[in-house]
Order: sequence, then C-alpha cells, then structure tokens
Amino acid sequence: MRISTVRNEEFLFHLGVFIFVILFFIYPMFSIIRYSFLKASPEIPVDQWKFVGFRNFRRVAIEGHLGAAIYKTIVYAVVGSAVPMIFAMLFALLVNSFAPRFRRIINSILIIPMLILPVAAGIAWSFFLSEHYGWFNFFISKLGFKGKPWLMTRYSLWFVILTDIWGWTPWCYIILLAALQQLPPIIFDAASIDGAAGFNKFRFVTFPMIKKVFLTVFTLKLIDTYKAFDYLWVMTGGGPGSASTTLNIAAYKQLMYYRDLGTAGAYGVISIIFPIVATLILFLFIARKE
Amino acid sequence: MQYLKTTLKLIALIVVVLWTLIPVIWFFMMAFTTYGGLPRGIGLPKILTLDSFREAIGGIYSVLPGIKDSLIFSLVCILLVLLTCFTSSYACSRIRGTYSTIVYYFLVLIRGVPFVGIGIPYFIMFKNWGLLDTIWAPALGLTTIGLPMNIWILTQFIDGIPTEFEEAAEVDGASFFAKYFKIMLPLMLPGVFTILILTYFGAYNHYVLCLMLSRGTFSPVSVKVAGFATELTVRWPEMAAASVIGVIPMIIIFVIFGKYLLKGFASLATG
Repeated sequence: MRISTVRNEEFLFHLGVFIFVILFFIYPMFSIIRYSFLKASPEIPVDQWKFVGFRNFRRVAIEGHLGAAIYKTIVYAVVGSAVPMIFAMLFALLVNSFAPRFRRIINSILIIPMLILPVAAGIAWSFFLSEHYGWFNFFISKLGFKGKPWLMTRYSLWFVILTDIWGWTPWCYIILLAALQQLPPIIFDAASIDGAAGFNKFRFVTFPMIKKVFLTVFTLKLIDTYKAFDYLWVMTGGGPGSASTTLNIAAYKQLMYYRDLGTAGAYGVISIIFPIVATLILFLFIARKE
Repeated sequence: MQYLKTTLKLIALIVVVLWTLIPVIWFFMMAFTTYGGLPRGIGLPKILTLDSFREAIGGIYSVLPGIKDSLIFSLVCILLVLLTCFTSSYACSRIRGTYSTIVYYFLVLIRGVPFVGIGIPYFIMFKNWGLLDTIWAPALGLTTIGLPMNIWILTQFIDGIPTEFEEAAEVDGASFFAKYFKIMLPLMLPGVFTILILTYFGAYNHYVLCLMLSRGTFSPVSVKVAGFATELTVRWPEMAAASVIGVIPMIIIFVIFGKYLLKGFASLATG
C-alpha cells in the first residue's frame, strides 16, 4: 500500500495530532504523576505546594479503601462489559434470523437508549429503583419480598451495573449484528448441508468468523466500562458511604469536593496505570504470537 | 417444531424490546405529570399536564441555553476533529512511516485513559491557561480522548479506497499535496462524515469533562439535566421534560444522518 513519498510530508500530516498529544496527553500525564507526590490544592498558590513523597499513596491505601475501590472498578468493568456482550451476541443472532425489513424496525427501536442522555437515563433509573415509586420494587413486592431503596443499600453498585447494561447493550448489539451481516450466506448453507445446526453451528462456524470483531468490541467495551462515570455519579454519587466508590468516583470527589490535588492525583495515577499496563501486556502477547 | 421455534424467537424478541423500551416509556410519562401525579409502581400518572415542560423551557433552570451550549460544543469538537484526524488518518493509511507508528502507539495509550484521571491535570492546566469555565477546556480534552476512535475508523475507511486513483494522479504529474487535496479529499468525505456524526453524538451527550472543567458560564444539556437532581430532592417531571427537549436535536440528526452513524459502527465490525 505504501506510496513513494518524502518523509517530511508525513510529519506535516501528523502535525495536528502531535500538538494535541503533546499538549493534552503527555504533558498532563507528567503533571498528574507530579501531583501525586505533592501536598497540593487548586485553592492554594503553586509555590506553597510541598513534596511529600509517597505519603498520598500510603494515605489512599490505608484510609481511602483503595483495595475496595480497585475491586469495585474491576467488578464494574468486567460484569458491565461481559454481560452486555453476551446479551448482544444472543440478540444479534436472534435478529439476524429475521427478515431484513423487520430487522430495520428492531434496530431503530433498540438504538433509542443510545440517543438518551446517559445522565437523564441514570436519574430515570434511580426513579425506577426508588422505594415507593419505582416499578422494580413493585414487582418485588408482588413476588412477596420487601421493597428497599436499592440505591441506598450496599448493593447499589450492582444496580448501577444493571443500568449500564441497559444503556450499552444496544451499542454492542449494533456492531455485532453488522459483523454477522457481513458474513457470506453460502458458508451457512454449506454448514447446514454438512449437518451443523443450533449451537454447533454457532460454535464452529459463526463464532470463529466473527471472533476477531467480537474480541475487538469486547476490548473497547471493557475499556469504556472501566472509564464509566456518568451513571455512577448521577445514580449514587459513589454512595451510600463508599459502597459504589470506584477509582474514578474517588478521584473526582478528592479533587472537586475535598480540593486535595495530591490524593486525587494518587487515585488518578492508579486508575490510569491499569489500562496502560493492560495494553502493554496485550501488545507483548500479540507481538510474541506473531 | 418449526412453529415452536418461531414462537420462542418472537417471545425472546418481545422480552428484549420491552426491556429496552419500558424505561423509555416511563421516562416519557414522567415528563407529562407533576411531582404529586407520579405513578407508584405500574400505573399511569394521575395528573396529565404540560407544566413541567413550561418549567423546563421557561423556568430558572431553563434547558434551552443548555441545548445551545451543547450544540456549540459539538460544533467546536467537530472542527477540532477536522483539524487533526483528517490528515493524520490519510498518513496512517497511505504513508505508514515512522511517525505513523509513533502516532499509532500513542493512540492505543490514549484510548485507555479515564476522563476523570486526565481531568485532574486538565483542571490545573486550563486554570493556569485561563481556559477554565470556557467551552475550550472540555472540547480540547474530549477531542484528545476521541482521537483514537476517529483516526482508527477513518484510517480503515481510507484503506478501502483503491490506490489506483492516486497512482493515476501521480502518473499525470500531480504533486503530493495536489494528490491529497484534489483526489483523496472528495473520496474521503463519506468516511469523514461518519466520524463527524460519531463525534457529534459523543460531544452532545458528554458529561464528565463538562462537569469538571466548566461549571457555571458554559453548561451543556447533561449538566443542566443533572442540575434537577440535588442532594435533597430530585424534580423528576422537570428533569424528564428537560431531557425530552434535550434529546430532540439528537433525534433530528439521527433521522437525517443515522445511516452514517450505523456505518461507523459497522466499520468497527470489520476491524
């Protein structure tokens, strides 16, 4: 594909991106690492910021429930991406077996959660999960259990994950359906003739062909869920107590409420390290495979 | 057997559609009632009124300036994306030299960075630059975090354009830049459109960076809507009405350009 050219032109083509990357990625990354070693606040002048070594990290680990925050972040990311992917896969297979015109109608219905503001959807879901008004408790009381204000119990994280699944399954579904539709139908006919049907057809014929797309989407979704903030913040604000405090929520609270730049920086650095290390491992893995 | 299978399929379909739609319908219903008229459990609202819409449009917390801010914000993001991704994806697809490799590795790193994590240094940085509480702080941040997806999608699109066009132009003696601006740009337009629509959808709904970097003077729809939920009470009907109004620009754009959005998602599927 390479077309003969002078290399200087390549730099010109990338100039805009380089400016953005240096100003708004590399420089902030160094800044946040620096902040995490400082006792600092946006409220006090820069010359009074003090270097305190690893004290912020120690404080975060001992007083700040760092372990719990990491655990909740990982639970949120893994459950909140694996479940939508499974749902989306099943549903894409289901819809793919219907007629194209029918498919279009279903697609336009299923895309609705993606259009609504995540913030508004989150607040609406906190209404559905509320004690006296919500239909969730209505169903539960019909089944004979006692209703609770679920977002104020220690299970609040799981209900935010439920909302996240509701909001993001369509996204996964649309991509997986697009992938399914790009497969040549001849292969399925051949598989049917050879006697493949039901789960075996999916396991040995369909899935291997969309495996790459599936893994790509899963990785993207995993990263996006790891970065999730909107639903958590508007539904529980990390509460009650710290029941749904993930790394992002903790960092946000430290900066915006306690005005503690050092601690916020420590949480921020930890939350940034995870995806970077994961990406590096993934790359080494791919490089070794090749 | 065939009938059973079809019935089961239809039941599964109905369950999924209901699971998707019930929250949306409830949400809509909430907008047409008052706090006292909210239904308990399953039921219709007791009072039907447009008061909450009146409050959401004309009240102190009117959502209309929010919509204006959101639209301007999306527009600024789109312009910034045009400035960066346009040329860069071309180079990533066609030239593929050292610089492209460097860019590629940085994109992979950027994709994983959480908004809050990068928002912390942004807060101090933009404060020092005097850009805090303006539209530029979240727009520049969002554009940077959005670079990877945009460049990947556009690069993939350009990969699909045959190189013969450029080769023919080269044979005819076109310079490198003439080749780019006169031959490639028109061919790239559909792909560019796709990423612009994706950018619009991401920017219009964006919340975190707007919340962190611009309180007060510039507040998009999501911040306005979240403003209806305070520590003490949530004004459900007004909130619902405000977001129903706020979603209108999204729906308009989706009805007109939804094709490109779906194309963007589909291009992820070929990845």
